[in-house]
Amino acid sequence: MCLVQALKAVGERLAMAARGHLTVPALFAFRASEDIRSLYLAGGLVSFRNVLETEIYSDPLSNFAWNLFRQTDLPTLVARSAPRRIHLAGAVDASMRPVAADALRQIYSTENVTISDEPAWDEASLGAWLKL
Amino acid sequence: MSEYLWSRREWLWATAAAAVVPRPDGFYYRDYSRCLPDYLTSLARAAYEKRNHALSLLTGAAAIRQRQLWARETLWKLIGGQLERTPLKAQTTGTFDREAYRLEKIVYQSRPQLFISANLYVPASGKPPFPGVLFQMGHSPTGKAYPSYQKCCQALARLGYLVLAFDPMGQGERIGYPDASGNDTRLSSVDEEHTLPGRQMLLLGETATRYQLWDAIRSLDYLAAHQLVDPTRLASVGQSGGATLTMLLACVDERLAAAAVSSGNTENVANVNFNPPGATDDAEQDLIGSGALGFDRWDLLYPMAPKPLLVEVSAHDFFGTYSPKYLEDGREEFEKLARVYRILGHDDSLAWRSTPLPHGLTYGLRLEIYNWLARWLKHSEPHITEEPPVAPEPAHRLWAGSTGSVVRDFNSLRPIDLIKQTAATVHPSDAAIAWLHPPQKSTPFRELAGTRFTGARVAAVEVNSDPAVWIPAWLFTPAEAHESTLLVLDSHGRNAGAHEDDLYHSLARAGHRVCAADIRGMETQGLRPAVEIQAMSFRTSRKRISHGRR
Repeated sequence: MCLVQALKAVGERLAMAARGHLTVPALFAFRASEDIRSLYLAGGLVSFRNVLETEIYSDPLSNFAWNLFRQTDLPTLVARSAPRRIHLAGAVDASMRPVAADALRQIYSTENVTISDEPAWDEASLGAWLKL
Repeated sequence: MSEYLWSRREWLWATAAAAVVPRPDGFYYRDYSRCLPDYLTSLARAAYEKRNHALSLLTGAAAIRQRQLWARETLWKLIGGQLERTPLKAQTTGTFDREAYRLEKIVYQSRPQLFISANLYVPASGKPPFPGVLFQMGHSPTGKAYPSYQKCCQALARLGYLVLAFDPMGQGERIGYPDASGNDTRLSSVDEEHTLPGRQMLLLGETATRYQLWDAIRSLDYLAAHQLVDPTRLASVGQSGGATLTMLLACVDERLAAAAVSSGNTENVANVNFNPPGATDDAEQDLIGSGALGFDRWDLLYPMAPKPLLVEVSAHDFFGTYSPKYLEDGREEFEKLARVYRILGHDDSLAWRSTPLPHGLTYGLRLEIYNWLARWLKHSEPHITEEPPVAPEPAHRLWAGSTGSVVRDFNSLRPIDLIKQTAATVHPSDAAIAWLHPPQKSTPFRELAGTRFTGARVAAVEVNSDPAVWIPAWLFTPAEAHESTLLVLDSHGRNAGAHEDDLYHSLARAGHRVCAADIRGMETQGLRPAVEIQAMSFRTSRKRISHGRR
């Protein structure tokens, strides 16, 4: 969020993109800062609930804050960030297995979310999304 | 985070630590890999000083009593609070007799359907009631069957103690992540049997610390209620991880009349020699949020004063079991506790013993325990110079269940089952994340160096996010006017897309400014996983990293 503040200080239309396990702090920053107009997440964790339902998970401790699940979960953060738009380019479960787009749509059902199957992280995908 | 204002000390750290160092090539880069460790060191120092100040105020019995009550309340608060006592539903599943004792194989439930497998050693001679000893295991895969633990339990039974030895979470018959045999863990170690679920518990405001401590409390319930025991003469004895569990029990359970902590984690997280990440390996041994309160592992022992407490250490534990300064830091804290015992007029009921041998409940340490308990629970002069005859049994002979797995034999719940059950009852609302808002003051980018690619300017920049913590970033600015700025966080690190013609350059050529950063803990920040844990020890619920796991 300090980075967001620094970028805001130079006055820009700000978007954010994150890949892998950094999608979690990116989503929290997005939820917290209205200065970020849109968010692109590639290959991010599907939900904390999934972590709690998974016997052997792979997520780093840095994404496990005390008592966090009793306060929020990733799909909740996404829903509460509406109408700002979020693109989920693929997502993984707590065992790092891809989650099918259909299953993702069940979890992320709000209108501010678009979903694609692959965790694309290239100029074409990010550039196209930035132009929306 | 936003309400966090830097103190003068933190500003000094911010300017002194990880200072920008000129390189021979003329560029000025900070050693970002030092930022977070140095920051943690500053927090550890603050926590150390805060605690020392609080201890310096313990000049009389009343102040000591207040500190003891505070330590007990603080521990419960940090680990998630007390649980409801439910029926133990103890069952004796088998017995066998040896020359000087009878061994009973038992199971009981510390929580509904959460089975604990245990062995009760009943002296064959002597007149009950017997003094009782709760023996707590170190992190041995076989739990209560580990040979040196069996030796200690057998010898204590021969010396006239009723001894309860129970399998801790994830050990012995309580493996929670079994391999195909059902009796061994499929994780890398039994430490992971604690820590893998322990991390998940954090998300629910629960801890492996409470899980294990509650098992010990309920085990003491079983022992204290036994018809052959004298409930006024109860002790807890533990080695290694079991010693740390003994420290936890000593903090909250007034029934203990004596304790022996052998090669436990008797090193504070915030110590004078703090070396990030410190000794932080096991989930149950890390007290999340303690640093901010000036509470540390040695505080667990203060509620014991002035009751008899034996602290044993291995002079070889600095070779990897604990930190390189384990002995020095432990001794320093021991002296602080000794002062409290002196004030209370019982300096003889606290003792420090050491062995030159590596980590383990070795012969000499066991003799010290026998003599300590004889002195304080039997009021006899220490004179035990030889261990009574002992002969460890094969693990399967000690099993309370028929196959050595409480999951298979008794349909016991495992930690992950409890986690799933709890999670199913929680429905996050997003209503209470008041701590989640932007920082009040903006810290501008500082440009360290710049160069050009075709159609884009590339700058190395940094932003200061906490005292002594700088976030490095690449800033790609299109040569022409740009429409938007993209902030990029990539788990592969900021360099992954930063080369010529790579992602950031391409996006800049397409008219987008790109800021690609390594937030703390990332790539050039050089964070080791254990540092994450350390960071959590200093974390409070309202501050991301502020003043505050073997």
